[in-house]
This record gives sequence, C-alpha cells and structure tokens, in this order.
Amino acid sequence: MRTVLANVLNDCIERMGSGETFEACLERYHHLSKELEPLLAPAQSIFILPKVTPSDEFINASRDRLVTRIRQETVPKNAKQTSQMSYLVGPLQLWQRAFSVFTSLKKLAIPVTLGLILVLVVGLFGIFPFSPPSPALASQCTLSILSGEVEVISPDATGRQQGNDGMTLTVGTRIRTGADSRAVLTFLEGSTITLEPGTEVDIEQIQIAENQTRSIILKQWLGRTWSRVVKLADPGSRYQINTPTATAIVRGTLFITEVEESGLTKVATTQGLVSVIAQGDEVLVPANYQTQVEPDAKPSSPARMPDPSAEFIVSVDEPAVGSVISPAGASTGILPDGSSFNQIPNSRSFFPSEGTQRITIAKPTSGEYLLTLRYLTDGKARFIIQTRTKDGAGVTYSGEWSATKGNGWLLHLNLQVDNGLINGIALSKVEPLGGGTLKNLITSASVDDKTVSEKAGLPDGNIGDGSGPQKVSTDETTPGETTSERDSDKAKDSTSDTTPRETTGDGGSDKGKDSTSDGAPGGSHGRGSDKDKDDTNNAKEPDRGPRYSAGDRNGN
Amino acid sequence: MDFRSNNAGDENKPDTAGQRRNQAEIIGLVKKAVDGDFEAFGKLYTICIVPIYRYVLYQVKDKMTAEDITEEVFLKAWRAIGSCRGKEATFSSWLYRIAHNQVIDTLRRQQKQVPLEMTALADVQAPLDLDVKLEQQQLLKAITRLPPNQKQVIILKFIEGLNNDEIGQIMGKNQGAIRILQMRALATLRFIMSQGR
Repeated sequence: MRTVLANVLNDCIERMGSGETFEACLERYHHLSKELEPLLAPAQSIFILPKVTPSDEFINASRDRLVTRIRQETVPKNAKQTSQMSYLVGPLQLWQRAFSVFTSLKKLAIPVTLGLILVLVVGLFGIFPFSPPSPALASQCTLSILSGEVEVISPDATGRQQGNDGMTLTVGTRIRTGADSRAVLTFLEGSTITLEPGTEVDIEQIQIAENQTRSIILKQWLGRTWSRVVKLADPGSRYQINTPTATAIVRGTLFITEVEESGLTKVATTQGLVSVIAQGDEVLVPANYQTQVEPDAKPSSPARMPDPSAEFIVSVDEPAVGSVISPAGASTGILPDGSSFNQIPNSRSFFPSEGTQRITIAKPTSGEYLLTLRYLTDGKARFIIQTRTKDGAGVTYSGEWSATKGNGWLLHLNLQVDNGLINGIALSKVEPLGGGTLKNLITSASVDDKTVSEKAGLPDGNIGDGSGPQKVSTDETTPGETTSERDSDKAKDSTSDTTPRETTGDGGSDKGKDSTSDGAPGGSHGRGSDKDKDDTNNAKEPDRGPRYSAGDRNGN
Repeated sequence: MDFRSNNAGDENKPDTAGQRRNQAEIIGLVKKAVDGDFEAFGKLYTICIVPIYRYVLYQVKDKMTAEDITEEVFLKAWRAIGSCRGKEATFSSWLYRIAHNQVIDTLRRQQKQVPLEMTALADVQAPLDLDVKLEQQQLLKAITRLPPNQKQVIILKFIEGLNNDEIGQIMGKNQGAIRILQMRALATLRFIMSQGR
C-alpha cells in the first residue's frame, strides 16, 4: 500500500509539475484522495515558492576569482610536469607503445573470455537456471584529505595522480597516504574510513542493489584505518575489509584495522561487533576487544584491549551539542540536525544519559583540538572537559556558557602529550560561532591564571596545574557529579583555593555558589580533591582558566 | 540534468526540449573540459552556478557562506574533472555530490556556519533573503527542519526540479527509494507545519 501510494503521489507531483492542477490530481486518484490530499498540499506550496538566484555581482566576481585560482594552481603544476617529463620522453614513449599493445590484447581477451564462460555455462545448464541477480548501481565515494599528500591510482586512463580534496573515487581505485598524510573516504550511505599515514587501500566494491542492499568492500594492503560504519539495516548489506591475511566484516560499528609489512593483521573494535575470518575460521570481536591474524594462520581469540594510557573526554549538556576536531583535521561529534560523524581514531560520541553528549578520544595526540558547542535553543549549556590517564589522574575544566539558538562557541584546546600521557592542556582561545553578533550573550567570567602559567611554564590559559603527569591533580569525582558540586565543596574547604568559575556579571566572588548563573564563558578547573588537599602548593595555585573579556568573546 | 530556468519569475514548467538541448550541451562541454579546455569549463560554470548556488543556499541558509561554498565546488570540480571522462552524462549529479560534500565539510570543519534549521526564527525576517509571504516563510522554515535526507530530496525535487533518476544518482538510492523518501518528506513537512499552527 505504501509503495502504491508513493507511486501515485510521485505521478501526481510530476503531473502538477507539468501544469495539472491539485484538484485534477485528486480527482484522477479519487480512491486515494484522503491519503493524497495531505501530502500533495505541501507539495503544491513548495512548487510556488519563488526561486533563489545569486546576484550578478557574485556570479561575475566569483568567475574572476575562480579563473585566478585555477591559473595559480595550473601554471606551476604544468611547469613542474614539463621539467620532470623532459628526460622521461624516450622511455615513456616506449612504455606507452608497449602498454597500447597490451591494452589491445586485453581488449580482445575480455570478450573472448566472457564468450568462453558463456559457452561453458550454457553447456552445463542448457539454459540459464538462475534468476538474474538484483541489478546493482555502481556507486562511488569521496576523498577528503585531512593533511599531507595522497596518491590516487585510478583504474582508468588517468592512472596515478595526486589526490584532491573532494575527488570522487570509483571501484578499482587505490589510495595511498604518505608518511605524514591522512585522508577520509566517505561513502554515500554515510560510512567513513579514515586512512592514517602510510596506508594503502583499494576500493574493491561499492554497490547499492535495487533492493537497497549495500556492499562496500575494501582491500587494505598496509597501514592503519579507522572505520565508522553506519548501521546497515538490510541483512544482506555488508562492509568488509580484506587484508592480505584476513577478512573483517561488520554491520554498523567502529573499529581499527592495522596491517603490518609482514601481513600481520590486527582488528580492534571500539563499538559494535566485528567478524574476523581467516583460514576458514571466524572470531567475533566485541567492543573493547581485539584480535590478530598472522600470515597463514587463524584469528587469535579476542583479547581485551588494554586501557588507554590517556583519554580526552568532553561532555556537553543540552541545549548544546558538540564536536571535536583533532590536530590532524579529523572530526567526531554531532551537528544540531542530528548528523553524526566519527573520523578521529579511537574516538566515540554517545549519549550516556538523556540530555548529555559525551565525546571520548583515547590515546590523543599533541596539538590543537577544536571543541565546538552549538546551541539547539537559547540557554545555558554545561560542558566538562577532562583528561584522564591510566592511573586515574587527570584534570577537569568545566563551564556553563550561554548562547542563543543557532549560535555557539569554538574553543581552542592545546594538548601536550608525552609518551602517551597528557602532560598539559591549555585553553588558548574562545570564539563565538554563528558568524553574527551574539546578541543575547551574557558576558562574565574574568579569570586570571597568570600565576599558574608562569609557574607551570606553560602558555597563558593552561588548564590544570600543568606540572606533568605525576603531579596532575587527580579527578576522583564519581560519575555524574558535576564539577561545580566539587568546586563548591572545595571552596568551603579551602579559602586559598580560588574558585574556578567566577563570573563578572553576577558577582563571581560568591565562590560557594554555582558559578553559572549568567552562563558566559568562564568555566572551572576541577582537580582531584584528595590530592589537592594534600598538596599545599596545588591548593595555593589559582586553579582557573584564562581571562576572557567580553570583547574577546564577541570577537572584537 | 535539469538545470532549470534560473529566473525568479519562471515557474516550474519543464521545458523538455530545452532540457535535452541543455543536457547535450553539458555533455559536449564536459568532454572538452576533461581534455583541459578551460573555456568549456567556464561555460559549464555559467550553466551550473545558479542551481548549485540555490542547492547550497537552501542547505546553509547564509548567503555569504553559500557563495563561498559554491565557489569551492567549482574549484574542486575543475581539479577533479578528469574523473568525469567517460561519464560525462552524470556530470551534474557529480557536481551536486561535490556541493553536498562541501556543505557538510564546511559545517563540520570550518565551524563557521550553523545549519539552516538552527537559525532562530526570531532572527529571520525573510528566510533565504526572499521576499516571501508569511505562509511561505513558514514553509521554508519547515523544510529546514526536515531530517537531512528528506530535506535533500525535497530541495532536489521541488526546488532544483530534478527527476527521480537524477536524484537517485546524487543520493545513491534507486527510484523506488526516492519515491518513498519523497512521500515521507512530504508527510513530515505536513506534520511540522501542523505543529507550527
């Protein structure tokens, strides 16, 4: 019934597009008019919406800019190619000639082979006894380059070339990341695979069958990938990574595949379930487990992954949603429209409780992380930024900031990671999001942390004591406890421990109170209460974030 | 591909002969552009800029962001035009896919613009800079609140005027799935608008 209605509706829409009236369509399908009417009404309204056109000024200016940019890119590239090719002309011509002979033979070989197969099949079965497979639409994926240069080897005449951001890749293409480059392949149903440096992957199959069965098959020759597979509703759908020694099949999950030079394959699951097959044996690898496959061997029994030496955790409460961009340019989080993405290896974005989003990044790297807070409605949103190390030590920064619906904040966080341990975290900059003035922004929170910065030898804006992993304050807060709750206690316990989230707008001197009454950038540093009490040096340090003036927040 | 008439006053009457001519012209230009003919690419730009801009603007709402993204789309298209060799007829779908990816990329990576649906209603006197009636404003706002794939199908079908085959190529779905998605989108739209009353 649903399909019938969808077909009739489609017919009506096309008729209306050709000038037939709404009433005539209903009359034509009068037996379905009750169902059709509520659907056709909005369709008719959309049809009469005025058209949007860019200004002539933009069209002309944009054309000029485009020409300039293309010329800038083209000239040096051609010059480089010419100089490189000049001494290759001889061998190249020989090679091209040999290749053309080979190609012509290949062109002959394919139809001949197909013909032989056809004869064989007809001979065996008399007629074709099989129903034809459901027609499949060959699909493509898009290349995004996060950093460095990526080499793309196409199966067609274009051959080897430097990959470009936004390039569409087809089946048969090989993608190779350099020693310092990272890339993401995005498939049409939303699944992504992040290629770490030194990785080589072939696209073996991307198909969407008529019945919506999807099939993505990749061959990973070398390197490390991080797959984020959108849940495949159809039981026939699959996402598969073949390696020289194993096959990993999933239907909606997050996992890492690592292939070493020897062919050794390691598969580690962060979320969901991965089936790993080798030498006819299958093991199922659940979340937080890993397996490995030696050449010519069966998969090992799944073993629990060791806890990460360090973890970077961001929690964001309603009405905001968050996303994090790693120093490599990969992103994990969600957008206000519900679109989720996960490109940062070892990361997760989930909702541990209603109204709270959490992003975790295990084994973070040094560099600048960008945290984006986008507001779904006007209001204040609490966020907590935490770092944790294996022994439980870590620092916490929390805040409760306001913004209007559609706007938000962009936080620049610098992580210093040494030997897998987070050695320092600094909030270096906060910018408003949304492109416009944040009219309803309530400004507050002037926090001076110069003492901390100078003492710790870290840049202004260091979060926490910055004194290295051994001295980093332990955050022993029980899950669910808010930083402000902890800070309230601390404020009561120690007058020397400056309250983290002072606000200029509403009397930030009231340290025992929740700091967030005006909701502007401020925030707090939570530190391990026990350690803080023991460590008098720490207790004396102003445990605060950087100073933000209202002007800073407004981008002035 | 139906790069429809771009004039505001031009309503949605398909010009089949014109479309065929347009499509044949596009294929010819793509063939030349693939071989490095920059002038041909310039003509493709002239033909395609309005529908691509319109598609982007409906996704991001902000005029300046839409202009930036549109420009990037054509730059990326030129860089990767070689991949259209032998697939000239699907150039338009390919261009829409670049546009769609660029929209997502911009929202995700540059962190500069919020999606259309997140724009505070009070801040928007005339969505998309259009001088439209109140009812149409409500409709535009309702479109922006659709789930991403439903919004995409509505924009491509009704605003861009593409047929189901073309939409299927862009979204990677078959025509049956597009018809179902279109029905769901209209039902959701109806629901959103009824909630707003």
